[in-house]
Amino acid sequence: MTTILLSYNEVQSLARKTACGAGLPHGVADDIGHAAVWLSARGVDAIRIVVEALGDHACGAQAVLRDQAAVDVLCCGESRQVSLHDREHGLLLIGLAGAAATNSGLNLAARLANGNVLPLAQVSDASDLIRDLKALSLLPDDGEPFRPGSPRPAATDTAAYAAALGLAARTYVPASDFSRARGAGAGTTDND
Amino acid sequence: MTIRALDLATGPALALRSPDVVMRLRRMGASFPTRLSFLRSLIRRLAASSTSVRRPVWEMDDAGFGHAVYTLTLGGYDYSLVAFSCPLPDDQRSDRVIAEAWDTSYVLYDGVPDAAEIDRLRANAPRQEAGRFGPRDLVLSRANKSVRFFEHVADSLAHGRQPDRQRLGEVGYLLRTTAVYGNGKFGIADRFVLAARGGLDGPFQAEMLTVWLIREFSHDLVEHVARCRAPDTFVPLAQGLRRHIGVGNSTGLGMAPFLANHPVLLSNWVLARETALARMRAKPCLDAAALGRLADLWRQAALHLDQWSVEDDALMARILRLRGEWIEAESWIDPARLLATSFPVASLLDRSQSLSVDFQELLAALLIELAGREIDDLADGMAAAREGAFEPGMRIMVLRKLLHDHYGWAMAIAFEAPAETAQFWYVSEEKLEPRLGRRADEPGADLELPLDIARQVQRLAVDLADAPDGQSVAAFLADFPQHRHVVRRIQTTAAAPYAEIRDNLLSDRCLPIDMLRCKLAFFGASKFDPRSDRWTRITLFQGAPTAGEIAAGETDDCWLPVLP
Repeated sequence: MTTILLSYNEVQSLARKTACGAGLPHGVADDIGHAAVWLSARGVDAIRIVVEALGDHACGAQAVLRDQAAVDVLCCGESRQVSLHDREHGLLLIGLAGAAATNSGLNLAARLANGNVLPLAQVSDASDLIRDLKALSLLPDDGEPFRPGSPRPAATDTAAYAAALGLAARTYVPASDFSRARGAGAGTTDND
Repeated sequence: MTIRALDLATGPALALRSPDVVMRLRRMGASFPTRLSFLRSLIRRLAASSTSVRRPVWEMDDAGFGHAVYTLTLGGYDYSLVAFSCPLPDDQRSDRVIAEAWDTSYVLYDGVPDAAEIDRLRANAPRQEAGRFGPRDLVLSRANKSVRFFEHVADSLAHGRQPDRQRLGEVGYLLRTTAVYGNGKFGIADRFVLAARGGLDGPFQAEMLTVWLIREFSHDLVEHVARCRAPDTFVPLAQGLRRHIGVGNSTGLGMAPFLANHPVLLSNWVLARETALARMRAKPCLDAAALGRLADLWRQAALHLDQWSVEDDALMARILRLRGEWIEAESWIDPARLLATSFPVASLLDRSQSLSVDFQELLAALLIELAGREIDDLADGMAAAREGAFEPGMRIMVLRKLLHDHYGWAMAIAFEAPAETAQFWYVSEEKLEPRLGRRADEPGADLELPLDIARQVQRLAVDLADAPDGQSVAAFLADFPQHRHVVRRIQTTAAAPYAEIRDNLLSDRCLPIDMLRCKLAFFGASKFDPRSDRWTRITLFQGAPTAGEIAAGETDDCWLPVLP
């Protein structure tokens, strides 16, 4: 597998555009971008996760909307926990929850199969979390500071990167001579 | 009808102008640089640090092609501009994003690059968007020559003459940047790296530092070419003229989505400026020294207006009117009269309401300049750590109230009229260039960018009408996920008074140039020179200290440059 090293801004904007290209509303796509940053700061190839959830052969848009709604109701205390229905999309769900916890300061936690409870704010590597995750829940504030992520995102698989670019390209308007001449309000040479 | 620029409800003590006045496109399009502009902050910081610029590498052939490195220390960190200069055929010289080659290219590097790092950058910087960069690369930029003026200066210096003052005044720069990329683009360092460092933590400080060093490079490059051309007759640029040669910039539609997509950041910028103005407005009197300074600044602005001419008919007409108003209003600042006036700044601002918006905004910028150091603290609050958090637990009745309280301007737009949706913003697949289309004539409206804030607000209001007061936003969005973007925005902007451009960006009347000028004025740009309603050239750092002068701090020409 070959990889490419992206910046966080690239991870966020590509994940967001990928989600838009897959047909998700802009506001939801914004959260996919935040989720990708959270995951990629914790050892996960987030672009691959987004592509696997939303790519051509996935039926993931509805699952993402469902997961986002579940995280929302968890954050506002209208549900006690979110159970993991779909392990295939589980990492994206964890990313959405992790980003929500970071942005809101809420103490969202992963309940693991062995009974342990791990606050998402303390997760330094999310790549193995999915294996043992049973549910996500909202805990009282424990006053613990957030553990920062890595200085640069986890490496991105180039095949996933290409697939994400393909989905993102669905949001671009095809080139035309008219668009080139009129759309930007400037000529094409500047030799003055 | 004259619009009153004060929201009297905020009281006379620190009366901020209302967002309904300030955040209109027409007024944003009359923005002038101020003491709080980002390049001004950078100059003050460089001066306070007694920064000295070194040039450890200069490897140029006689025609001025090669590379150079400029290094300085700021806030305990070394930064280097690595500059590359290459031959460029005329048919490839374009200011557009769709260009694929440039006269010069740059990276602001974190530290001092060794030979291997310079080789890496040489392989990538000239390719710009097609290259790949890493965490030590902080800013990526490129610039094209102002071809005729560069040649004129080189030829003049080679023959022992200084360049023609009038041409220098008309152009004002040797190189014109066509992009200055920061914050993680193409693999470079993310903004948070710099946000944690003293020195470059303010908005666009790394980008401004890059441009300031590019200006230094442009001076050195033209002198190098002239010296190589005729070493026996060559003379260097006279210091006064050197200082008046800034850096050009060509800017298109990309700046407009930036403002719309960073509402909290935009609010912070405007709030700092408006607070500075309100502090001045609240002054009960001005002493004789301040009145003398006011007169000096007034004359400087008049000279600047006289030296600012553009080909764009609409802007030139506005400049001509402004010149006339400025001369007529000079009697307002008669010292004897102002000394006898209580709240003299408030008096000037109130009188200005009868004149053009251009006059009002130039006067506001002048009064902020008059404030001097006493408003410099406001520059520290202009960055935004983040664009606000989403609150899924908010009750619908609260969201409705926020919409009602802050988005009346949006609800008043009649979107059923075709003119109100005449335009759409999009990203072209051609190098992802941001563009603006006519909905009735062009394909692509189904892919438009979500800059239709007012229309989104209205659509949300329709669906909110039937939602129970006590329902949570989380429950509402589970049924209406398409509103998530605008709900988050309404929640976010409730505490950011100047977050929204209070006009319809889809309207037939929307002129993107107004947004461009607003953002560029915050950068510190002057000599706005529109090439269309969506494209402009500007000048940065004209009149500002050169590297050799930076320790002395700001010059008198930092606000509005005047050719000596």
